[in-house]
Amino acid sequence: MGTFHDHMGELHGITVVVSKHDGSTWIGRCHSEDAIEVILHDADLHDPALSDEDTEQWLQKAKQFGHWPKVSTIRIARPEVSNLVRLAESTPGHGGPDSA
Amino acid sequence: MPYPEEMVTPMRRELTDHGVTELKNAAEVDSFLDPEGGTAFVVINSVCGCAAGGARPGAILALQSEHAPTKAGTVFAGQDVEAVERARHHCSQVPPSSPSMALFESGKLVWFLPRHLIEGRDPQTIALDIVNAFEEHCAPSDA
Repeated sequence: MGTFHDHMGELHGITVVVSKHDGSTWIGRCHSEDAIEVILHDADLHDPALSDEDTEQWLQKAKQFGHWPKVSTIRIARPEVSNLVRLAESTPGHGGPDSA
Repeated sequence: MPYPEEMVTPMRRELTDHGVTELKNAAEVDSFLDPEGGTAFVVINSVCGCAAGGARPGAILALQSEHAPTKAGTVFAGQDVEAVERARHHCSQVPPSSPSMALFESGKLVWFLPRHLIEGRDPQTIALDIVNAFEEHCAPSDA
């Protein structure tokens, strides 16, 4: 059971992890996803080049307590996405970059 | 912008009809989470589908368990802004999300169930997580 907006797709309203080929990772509430883009609301970005924390540590904290909603809406071009998974179902090595 | 109250009232009553105290402002939240007040369970309610399908029925099921705390309260995200802000102030070490649930001992957060662990899960599974927290934090110790 997702939300009551079934026409929006099964990930609508679900908190997801979007890993990108460049090594960065977004977590946010999925609005929609298709071949063009993934749209997230209330999202946070982890860029290992800019953080003391590695991606798995960051994901592990988010998985336990949730993520900080720092960006209202982000549109991520689908060709940049290496993996898309529910946060609740992400596992070490399967939520990070190029883990698909 | 808040939703029309007539739409939200049934979502409030789903919890209050089961003995959950509605907290409508900061003073009520602070009083409810008084450090001298023992263990308290708080549901951050919301209008979204995962609150209807998982959070509220899961909380209601869990509150029927043997070691459920006697104090159960709720604030409504997007509706009772002051009360929600105050509840989140008491959980400031975890990111805000709704629906979500929290357990406090003597006013301190000891357990938190964020939205992403409610999404897509059935009420029985959610209730089991909550009951496990009640067992850990509310059951009398053997010592």
